Amino acid sequence: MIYNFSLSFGIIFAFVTILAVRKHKLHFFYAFLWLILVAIIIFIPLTVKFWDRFAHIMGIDYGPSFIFLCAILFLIIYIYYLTITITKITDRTTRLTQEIGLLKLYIKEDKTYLDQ
Amino acid sequence: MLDKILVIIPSWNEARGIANVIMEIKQFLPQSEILVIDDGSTDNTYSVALNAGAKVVSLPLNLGIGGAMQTGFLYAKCRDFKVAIQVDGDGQHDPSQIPLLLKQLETSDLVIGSRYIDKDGFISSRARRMGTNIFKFMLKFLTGKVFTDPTSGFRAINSKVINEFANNYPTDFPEVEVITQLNRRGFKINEVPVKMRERKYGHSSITLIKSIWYMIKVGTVLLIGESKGRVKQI
Repeated sequence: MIYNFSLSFGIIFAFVTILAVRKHKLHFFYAFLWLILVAIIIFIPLTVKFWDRFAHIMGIDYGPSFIFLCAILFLIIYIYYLTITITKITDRTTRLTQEIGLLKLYIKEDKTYLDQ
Repeated sequence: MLDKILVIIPSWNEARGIANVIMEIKQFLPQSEILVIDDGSTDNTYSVALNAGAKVVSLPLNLGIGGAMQTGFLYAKCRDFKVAIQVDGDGQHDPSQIPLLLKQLETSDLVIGSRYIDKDGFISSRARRMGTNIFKFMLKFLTGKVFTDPTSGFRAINSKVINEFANNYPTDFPEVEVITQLNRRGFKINEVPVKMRERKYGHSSITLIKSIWYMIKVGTVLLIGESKGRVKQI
């Protein structure tokens, strides 16, 4: 049951992501990261035995705990990357706001000069 | 030192007092150009400053003190000013003290007007003095130099620092952070004693929560420091 749910969720999420790219609501780069996650979500239920064995080798008795750990680490890294992106966008917004303010002043100065 | 001086006044809702500040600067520094940065005010700061004879940059969004000041530095760099002076729009900084900053700037890159050297004039609240002392000790530890009033916004800089700040200036609570920034890059920083006055109009935008965040943010940034390499430009 849980395998079917993961598979269905993965397919629907991939479809929604691709649709978002086609409608220019999501940049391809970010969509690409989500599609990697979708691939993992679909791939893991198909290879449960392998991950169970791999978890045991890593010293984790309960296989799903290992998968949860990987998922949490992926999300932490992804959120960290997004905060870096937000910082970059904030810096750019600040610079644009400054440039708009200065341009308004320059335009006003030019207009005053022309009026004279 | 008297050529190409820009006085930058960052303002946010200072309509009641900004005209007086501009008049006083004109009186004590008639050769300077006065640039008011209206940081997204919701009152008529823009028109009051304009009518008082200043040039006014009207920012469409509120950027905070760092973003507003950097706008002034960008203007100063673009118009090739040799000196930029920061004066608050609330009347706390006495423009008659500006010549003291300019005199010291002849042998410095950044001059900070300190209210705590002579302890003359208005001295701020105990909480603020305590915060200032914490930064003073941190800066002494990090730079080996004593800055008695590192949070003071009454400052003068030369063209080298104008270029530096136009490219790289902290967005919020910049005063303390830029001291380590400039010290690390070998700029010469000095203080001069000045008298400050009590705020005449309006009220401080720094609330209790902002004060706590100020201490945490600036303290952490000072301890973390900044890469010695070239800072990535926007």
